[in-house]
Amino acid sequence: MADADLSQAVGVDLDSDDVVTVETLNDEISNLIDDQTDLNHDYVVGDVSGCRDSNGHVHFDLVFEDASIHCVLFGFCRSRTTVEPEAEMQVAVRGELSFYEPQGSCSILVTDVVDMGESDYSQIYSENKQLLAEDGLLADERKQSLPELPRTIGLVTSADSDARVDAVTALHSRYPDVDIKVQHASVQGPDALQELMSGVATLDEDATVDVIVVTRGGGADKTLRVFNETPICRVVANTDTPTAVGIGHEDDRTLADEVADHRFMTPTHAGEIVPERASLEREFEQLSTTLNTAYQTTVVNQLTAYGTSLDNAYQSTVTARLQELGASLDHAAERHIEAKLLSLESRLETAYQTLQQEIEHEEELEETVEEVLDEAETEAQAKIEATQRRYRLVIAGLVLLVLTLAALYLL
Amino acid sequence: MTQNTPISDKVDRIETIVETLENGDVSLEEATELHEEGQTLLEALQDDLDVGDGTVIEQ
Repeated sequence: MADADLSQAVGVDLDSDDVVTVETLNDEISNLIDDQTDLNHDYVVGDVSGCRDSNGHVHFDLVFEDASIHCVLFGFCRSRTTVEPEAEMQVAVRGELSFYEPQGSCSILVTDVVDMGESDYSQIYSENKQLLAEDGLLADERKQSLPELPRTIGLVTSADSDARVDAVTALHSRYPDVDIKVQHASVQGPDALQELMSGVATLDEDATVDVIVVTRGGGADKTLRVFNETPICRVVANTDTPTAVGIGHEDDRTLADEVADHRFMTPTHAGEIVPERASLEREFEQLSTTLNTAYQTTVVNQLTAYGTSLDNAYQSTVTARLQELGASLDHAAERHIEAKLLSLESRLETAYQTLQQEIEHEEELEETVEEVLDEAETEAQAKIEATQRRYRLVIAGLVLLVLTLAALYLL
Repeated sequence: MTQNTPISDKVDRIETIVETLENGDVSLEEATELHEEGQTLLEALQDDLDVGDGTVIEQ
């Protein structure tokens, strides 16, 4: 089975003729599995873990205590099975053992699934949850509010994990100024429980830490089980410092999530425990604008009201004063006119009396004139009458003369 | 209000001041006092934003 040519091809003396590539080894394992009929069992029993649907196929891990094997229920087999595997189920699966050479992984290609009831771990989970509930650690009333704007965040996670990077990035992308104290802890494996508890307790004793964040990325359900252990849940629940826990993927739930003061879904969502600084700045800027506008409006309205009152008071004062002056003027004018009228009346009276005297004088003159005229007329009449008598006498003399002459002539 | 007053309380107080001013039922002197109080709270809020240096401390 050794590949002698490869031992020379690598260019390094491995002091062995039995050197193969991964491809050769996987091919050999595959052949071994295919030839080994003892590996084919009617059913394999275990708990369903990490169940997910992908392109119509169901992938899950079959877990028993610390052992697990990957299983696939292809789409074309799903309609033939009476039961679909789900999380927290214990199942017996029938299928063919298959070795996937490109990844060197072994899977059961499931053709049948039998429901064996609740999984062993599901029972443990329920018991743990019941214990925590009995102690009141799941009650909403005991949950603390997270600080509006923490100055320092204590982060409990694996120091070299993607979760640590994601959480720090998420926190600083929303609020770059916040300080983060990272308390390393294994998040799976035998040391995880102790290190997680120690990490949370250490940060809880640090007075500068405003909120404790416990997080890890996704993984097989089995790897998340430490976060369902009652000791870590009690530590998380009993801190004086508010806690936020985000374990695994969006659909992963652990008891540590439930006892924490705040649950976030994944390390990437850790940022939600701090406000977005840019958003806060915009809000404060808007508040400032609103405040200044309200103040300006109030001032303008008040000044306008004062101006109107001032104008009205001025108008009233001016009007009253003008009315007083008008009244005084009217009074003065009245007095002046009265005096003038009295004067005029006096003058008129005097003039009237003078006129009366003149009229009387004229009348007297007229009477005198009439008398004179009468006298003159009488006198003229007398003269006329005297003249007329003289003329009559002359005429009579002349007539007498004529008659005398005529008589003389006739005679 | 003090520097330790929660941000939300300061924001609430400023919004109350704005409402009072917008109602218009304040004198010019009261309006000036309220505006000065609001400005002081806004400055305090700006100070609140500067929480740290953004350092990551590995323990």
